[in-house]
Amino acid sequence: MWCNMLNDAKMPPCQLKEPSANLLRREILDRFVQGLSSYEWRYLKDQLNARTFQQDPMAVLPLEIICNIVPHVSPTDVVRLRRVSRLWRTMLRSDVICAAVLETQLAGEWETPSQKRRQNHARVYSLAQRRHAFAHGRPHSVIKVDTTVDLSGHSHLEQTEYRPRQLRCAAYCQGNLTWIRKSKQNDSSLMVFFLLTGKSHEIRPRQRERLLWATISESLAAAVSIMGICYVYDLEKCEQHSFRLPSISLSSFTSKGTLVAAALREKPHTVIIWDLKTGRARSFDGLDAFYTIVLDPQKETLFTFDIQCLDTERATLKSREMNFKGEKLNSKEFSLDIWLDEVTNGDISNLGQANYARGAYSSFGAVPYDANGRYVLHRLVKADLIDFTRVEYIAVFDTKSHSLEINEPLPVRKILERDFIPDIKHDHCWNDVVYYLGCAHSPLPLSFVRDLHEPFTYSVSRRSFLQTPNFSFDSRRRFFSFLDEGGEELDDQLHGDDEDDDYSDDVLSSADGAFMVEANSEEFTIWCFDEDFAKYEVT
Amino acid sequence: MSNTIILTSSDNVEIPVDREVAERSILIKNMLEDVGDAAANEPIPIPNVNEAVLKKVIEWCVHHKGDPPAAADDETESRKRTTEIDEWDQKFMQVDQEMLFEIILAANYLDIKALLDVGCKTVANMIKGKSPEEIRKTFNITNDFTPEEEEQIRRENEWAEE
Repeated sequence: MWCNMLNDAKMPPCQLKEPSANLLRREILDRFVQGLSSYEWRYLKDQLNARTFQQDPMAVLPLEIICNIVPHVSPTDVVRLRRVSRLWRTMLRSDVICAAVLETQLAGEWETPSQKRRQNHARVYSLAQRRHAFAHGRPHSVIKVDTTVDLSGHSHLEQTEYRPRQLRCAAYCQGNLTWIRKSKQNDSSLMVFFLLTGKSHEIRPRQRERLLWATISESLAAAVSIMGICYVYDLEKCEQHSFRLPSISLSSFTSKGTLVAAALREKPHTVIIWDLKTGRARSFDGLDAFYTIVLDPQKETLFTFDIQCLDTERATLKSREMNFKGEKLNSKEFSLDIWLDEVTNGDISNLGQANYARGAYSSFGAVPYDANGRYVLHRLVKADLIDFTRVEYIAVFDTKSHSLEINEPLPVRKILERDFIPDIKHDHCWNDVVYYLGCAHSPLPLSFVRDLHEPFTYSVSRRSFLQTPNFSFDSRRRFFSFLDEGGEELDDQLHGDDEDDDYSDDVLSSADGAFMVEANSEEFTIWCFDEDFAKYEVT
Repeated sequence: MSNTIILTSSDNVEIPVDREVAERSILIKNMLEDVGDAAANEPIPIPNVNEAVLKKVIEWCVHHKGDPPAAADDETESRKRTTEIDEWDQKFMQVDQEMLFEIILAANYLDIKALLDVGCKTVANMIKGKSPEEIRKTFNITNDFTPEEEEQIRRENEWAEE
């Protein structure tokens, strides 16, 4: 009936919607309301209350317009707002929208996922070539001098969540190469390649269970399966051994010489050391908190490391040395007057424990740096949130002298956005070359290689993959690897789809360009390079 | 050549507009070029936009009549990052959400890049820096996650929380 009244007054409803004519609207409303009976007024009020003038933009606006909106919003917002509703979550996690955000955030630093995989291979090849030339002191052209790549644009995704599904590890040691190869859905095997002889050996877990962790040393290759069984393959005698671990939540899995060591993440902090020579395991529990371990078989000692943050300015690194009889030898504390950016994500009281909880750094706390028992402990970052800069340090720990050396910081870089907390998923270092893989806020990761002697970052691949490969290092032949993941698998992660995971193309290459491996679902090729970088094929 | 053309809205209302003003819309501009001057006196149907919205859009076009044409691509790139909106446009966009989204859709349909941009920025400003709960309130969205799901997502994205 009030509609009729409107019509009587020759005031089409749309006039009421015309806000620029404020005065007019008020007049219309006044006249209109005065003409209402109390019954009509109540009816009208009910009608108005029942109607929402609000609309969900994600539901109303087409995708192309949403893509126009999101770049105006910070990436942090985009991630946070995935909590609004299912629709928002689906939209804000979609490749299209993530790409739209990244495009503006990275301004030209971004390539779309649809790019041909071949280009990545070409890039690996040229990278290996450059590395090779660089390692041999030859003149080499630098394709991309880039100091602008800013890792602050790449953030954090829990590694543990994805770990069981698709992890593949690769490791290299003295001419042997190993990795976990996933053939079918839940099936994986440990592949060991003898690069010197060209032979390969495949180690299958007894119950075809999935393998999660791998390591290789001079004399053995080892992997831990999802059932907590550690398989050790003797590279000399070609024998396979296995033993059971009390838990599979490892914070560190490493090997050196004939020893395999696994550190459990849960309390009580326990380290289990298994010896290939004797076939016997030793277990040390009740240890103080640590986030990573390092073995020294010659001295028969074990080092554990823990980082404590005193406040946002200061942190200390505690290293504890103990021998294989369980006697505590030395404990040292190194002051790191730096600000650890990882801590900003949550608890600043204890980085070590924060790490256990998040599981993000546990597998790569210490990597061999050279043949003299030196290890890189962590990429340490000092971030200044006042002038938005960050400096990176590399901390090198010497097991012989039990000392810590913090390298000259890498150049200061500007943080793009204050509230966008960066996170490096994985980093590796060999003789002054740092490899790190950063994850963007979407499942679209980026990886970078930085050479400490050269003031630039190589950006290796913009879509190598989420859960990072696990590396181990041999100092005499520097090894570098990254895995390249196809778009399909990224999709799988987006939708939590576990079913279709073909083994997609992988590329591994050594830092000095000595070899490169290409692998896809059925076959793999190993390219070896000699001194002059002539390519020959071993399959 | 007449300087006034007539647009017909979806609800069949004829609105006379300066040709110069109407040509802020790339769609109308192209249409006029295609049909030639002879047919320019015919009303142009705009079937996707109703009268109220069309009038708003025209109001915007009149105000921005003298604006320089759309900037080159590199400049739009830099513009994309800011959410600053000039004062008049801000006032102009103070409408209810339904109208706002309809203006955006109309700007998209009529291909008026600058207006679309203003609209998108307005929506971005409504979203920016807000908590999910505030967003739900703003747009009247029901939270359809189970508490467990929400907790899990919250943990996943912990770093993005204030």
